[in-house]
Formats: sequence, C-alpha cells, structure tokens
Amino acid sequence: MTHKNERILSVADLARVEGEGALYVRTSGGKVEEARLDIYEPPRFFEAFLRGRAYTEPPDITARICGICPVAYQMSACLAIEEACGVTVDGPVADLRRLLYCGEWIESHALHIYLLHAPDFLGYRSGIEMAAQRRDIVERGLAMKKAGNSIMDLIGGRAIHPVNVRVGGFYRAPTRAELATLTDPLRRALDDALATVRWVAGFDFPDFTREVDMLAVSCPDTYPIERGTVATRSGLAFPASEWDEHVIEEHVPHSTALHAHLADGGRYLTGPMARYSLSSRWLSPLAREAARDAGLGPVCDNPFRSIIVRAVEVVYAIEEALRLIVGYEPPDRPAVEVRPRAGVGYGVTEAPRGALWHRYEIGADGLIKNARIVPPTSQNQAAIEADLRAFVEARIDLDDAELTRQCEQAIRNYDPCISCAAHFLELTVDRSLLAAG
Amino acid sequence: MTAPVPAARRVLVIGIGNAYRGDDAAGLAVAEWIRAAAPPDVAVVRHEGEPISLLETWDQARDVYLVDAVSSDGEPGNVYRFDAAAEPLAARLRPRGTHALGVADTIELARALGRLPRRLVSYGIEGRCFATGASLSAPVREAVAVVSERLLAELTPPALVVFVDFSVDDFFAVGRAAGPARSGQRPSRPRRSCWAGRRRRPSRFPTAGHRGGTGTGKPDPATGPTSEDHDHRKLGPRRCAGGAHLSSRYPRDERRPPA
Repeated sequence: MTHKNERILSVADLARVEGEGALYVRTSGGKVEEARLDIYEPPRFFEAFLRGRAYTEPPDITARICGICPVAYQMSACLAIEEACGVTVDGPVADLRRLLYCGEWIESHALHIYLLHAPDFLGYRSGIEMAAQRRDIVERGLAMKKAGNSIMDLIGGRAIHPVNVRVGGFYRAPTRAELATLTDPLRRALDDALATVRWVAGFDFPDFTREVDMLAVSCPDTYPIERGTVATRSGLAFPASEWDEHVIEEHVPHSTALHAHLADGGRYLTGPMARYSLSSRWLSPLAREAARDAGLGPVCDNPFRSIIVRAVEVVYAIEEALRLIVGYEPPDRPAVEVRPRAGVGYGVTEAPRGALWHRYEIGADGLIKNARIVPPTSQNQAAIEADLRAFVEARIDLDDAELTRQCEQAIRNYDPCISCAAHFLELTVDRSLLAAG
Repeated sequence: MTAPVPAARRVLVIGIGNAYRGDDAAGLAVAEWIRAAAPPDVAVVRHEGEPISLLETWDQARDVYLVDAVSSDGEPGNVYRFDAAAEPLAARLRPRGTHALGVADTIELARALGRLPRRLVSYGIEGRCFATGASLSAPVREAVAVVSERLLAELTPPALVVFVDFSVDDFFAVGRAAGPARSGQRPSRPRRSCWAGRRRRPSRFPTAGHRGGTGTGKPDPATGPTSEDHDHRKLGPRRCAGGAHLSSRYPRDERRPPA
C-alpha cells in the first residue's frame, strides 16, 4: 500500500560498486521511514571453508575473497596466524609486506577515484563515458593503477590474488635490482597522484558533515597500513585481541552481511576517512601538504570528500613504496619459520576500505578449528544507511531521479566492497547448528 | 602475464577465468587447449580478468580472441560469439552485472580510450556452476571442446575456412554443446550458422571421453588436450554447493535459443 505522500527510491542493481547490492529508501510526509543498503549477494562461506584446513593455508584461501583487496586478507591472516604461533615478523620481510600493501592501496584507490567515483562528481553516467570525453584524465588514473599493479606483480607474483605470500613472509624475496625497476614508474605515478589530488579537490562537494565515530588501525610511529592496534575517534584504544569486546556484529534481515557497531551501541565508520582523521599527522610531508592545499584539515568528516583522502593516500602510498624500495636490503631468508601450536591469534590491518580483522583458533595439529573475518564494508553498512537517511531528509525537495542519483553517489563515498562483506550470514547459522549439536 | 606480446606474435588468445570457481574456468580450459595446438605465431595467455592488466596484455596485439565464462540465465554450455571491435555493444546488450569493472566494461573502456586491437573477437561460454572449488560442469566441458575447435579454425590460415564476421546485431548463440550423454546427438548447430560455407572436416582433437595423452597431465602438443586434461567425469559429478557467486559479464536478454 502506498500512501499519498509516500515516496520510494529504489535502485535494484547498484552500479560502480564491487558486488551486488541495492538501495531502498522510503519516505513519508517529508520524513525518511526506511533507508537500506540491501546486500543480497549470496554468502560464500569462507570462514567455514577454513575450518580443518592447515594453518598455512589462510593467506591463499582468503585472498580469494576479493579481487581488489586480496593483500589485505593475506596480511591480516598472516598476522593472526603468526600471533597464534608466537612468531613476530619484522625487518626486511615486514617492509616487503608494507610495500606489497602499498601496491594494493594504489591500485584499489586509483580504480575507485577514476572509474567508480569521479564520474559522479562530473556528471558522467559511467567511467567509460568519462573515458570517452576525458581520455587524458582516465589514462592518468590507469597509469597510476598500473604502477600499483606492478608492485603486486613483482612482489606478489601477479596483479591479483598474489601467490608469493606465505605465513611467516614470502616464498621468494625480490632482489634489489628487481625492485629498482619499479622506481621510475613510481616516480611518474607520484606526479600523477599529486595531479589527482589537485583535480579532485576542484570537485563540488555537498555540504554534508557527519558527526560519527570512526575506527581505524593506529600505529605509534607511522600511517597505519599493515600493522598496529585499533583506535577510535571517541578515544577507545585496544589491541586486535580485544576486538570482540568492543565491536559487536549482528544480523539484519535485508543483508547477507553482518552489521557492526561498538559495544556502547554507537555506529562508526572505517576506511580512508577514519584513517586520515586518526593518523593524518603520520602522513609524509608531501602528502600532508597536498592534503592541506586540497582544503583538508587534520580531520575529514564529509564522506563526499573521501575522494580527496583517497587521492592523498595514493600520494602517501607511492612515496612510502619508493622509500621502502630505496632502503631495501634482501632478507637472509624470505620467510620466518612458523611452527604450529595450539592457540588463538588475531590480526588487523588497513584494507583500502578500512580495518580488516581476522581471528584464527589453531589446534596443536596445525589445523584451523575456527576462523572469523570482519571486513570493512560490513562495518560501514550501518553508517551508510544512517548517511542515506540524513542525506535524503536534507534534500527531500529534489525529484526522485536526482535524489536517487545522489543517494547512489553517497553510497559510493564508501567504496563498498559488497563481495567482501557478503560472506558471513550462513556461518552464523552454521555456528548455531554446531552449538546445538 | 602482462608482458607485451612479441611483435612476431601479434595474434593473441586470452582465456579469462578463475581456476577455482567451477565453470568460471572455461576460458582457461580453452586457453590450455589452444596453447597445445595453435600455430606458432599465436600467443596464448591465461588471465584472471583484472581490467588494467587486460588492456596491457592486448596493447601490442593485432588480433585478439577472448574466451570467458558467461552467466546470463541461458542453457549451460551455450556458446556466444561477437565481434567486439566491429562496433560497440549496444546499450541493450550491456551487462547488468554490478561488479566494478567486468570484461565487457573493459572492452568498452578500451574502445573509449582508443586501445582496442584491430580485431577483438569474444567468445562466451554459458556456465552452470560457479561454486568455489567445483570443476567444470559436463555441458561446459563439451562447450570448451566446441569453442576450442572453432577458435583453432579461426586461427588457422583460411584454406579450409570461409570466415564470416558478425556485427553486434548478429550476436547469437553459436551452438549449444549438447553432448551425446545428454541428447544422443552431435552438438546442435545454430539456426544461423556462423560456420556457413565451412567445409566439415574431421576433428583434430579427441573428444571428451577419449583416454590417452602424455601421462603427464599436460596436453600432448602432437595430439592436443586429452581426456586427462579436460574430462573431469572420472572425478564423478560434483554437486554445486549453492550460494554460487554469479557474475553477469554478458547480456542476459539477447540470447537466442539453441537450434
């Protein structure tokens, strides 16, 4: 039944997001009654697959969860398993991990900025339409992405689903000469990245400041990527092992992803805005200057401006990659030996889209007894829906088509990776069955 | 994988897919088949479909043949062929998939950027089961053989082949690979056959079910892929575990029924 003054905005297949989701907003009398990001992509059971597998396998298995951020899955998995086995990886092997992760940030952010998000700001219906009109601009984005791909190719073994990562490090470490081949393309990419920051800073941004808590990995001495503890803007600080005490996941009917909130009930955001707002002081001087010139303060709380944060993070990731390449000394051995022991380990790293948390329980036989994975997009889902609600209420006078278009853009602010998020519903069922049995 | 194609090998076959996602590996299986039997000037690449490296892969090539799995609600084993370089996919043929950038999007991106090869022919094989860890389903295995033969005919100097290009309006099911076990007949031929004028000739390759090969698990270049490479039936039927992750890389609504 549709009431006279009821409006429904609905997009069945969201475009330019990774995965399958839908938008549904219902308003009545100028008020938003319902705002949903429906995630209907089927769950993929990865946590259940991991049970009974060897402790060495999660980096390869979980890399398959996402074609855009496989390194994030590999790194969080490695950290968690190494913690369970009482091993710490540092030195050049840890540096190589950070370098590989920089490659993923570069390629993921370049794709989102240029082909998924910028068209919204410039009035193109797709990245392809934009490419036809602004060939030089899109080629610049692709060249940046290629530089990221090259890092993945060289260190990971290939551009997606890297095969060179193992628990304890890598199967093979590159030589200095091999890494040196990345230097020139990265230097060119740095120029492109700075041009990108200037370009996106010129976009028109809706006035849409959100007062919402933010959660990100935090490092005492650097911008967070591949290691650290967890911090929130509201002042929480805890190690990955205490995640469960602070982050609560729950199932909602319209999503195959779990929604997350803090233990006190508060919603939060994770991702580039959160990282930047919590750690912008750890960016390189060049990246900080680019951010300042682009009009970003030390904190970013307008989700539409997240595209600038991503561009600034690309600048940082490229600089960081160059720094790591220049300082690289090949390790004596490409991996630390990791022997299995019974225990539980936790790992959290910063995927391009935000904090990615893994927990593994390993038996003395080296087989995985339980696995849990909390990806960024499911953490952001509640905040995205709150954004939609506030956004629509402030623009209720727009016609349906324009309002729907802007809502889609508001969702793409978070670069949602629905494929990553939608894995976990059935595991909940599975667990309850196990408990019953 | 992203290395430029040597100038002497400007003909490139790219099999696209995920080796661990059941029928999604159809393109990879065709690539292996072609690799074992193609003329020496043909380069063959297995690819996971990452868009930028796909562009890089074909940047130096002149003639490119893509083979990929399709999920469009059609009959599993349906084979589609279209000439992507001839003209853009009409809006009505655009994929409805929601993944950030699929193979069809990559083709259109390349067109927008002026980075299409001179010739770009795309084959699609309709898959049935894309579950993690599954093998190729029976109809897709048959379709892999059909596409491989068809593609080899395209790649072979045209003494025996009268080749006809089709525009996007001729996008249609080339034929459905209905194996003997399913229909008791040879693979059906399309109503509007793109083999028109082609002389039939004996298959250069063993059909599924043939036992033989090198014993190494790799295709014997002399005889082409063997049952050990492509016939997974000996593993017994694999049940699709459900929850299959379907990607819509090709249009859903422009299929034609098999002949």
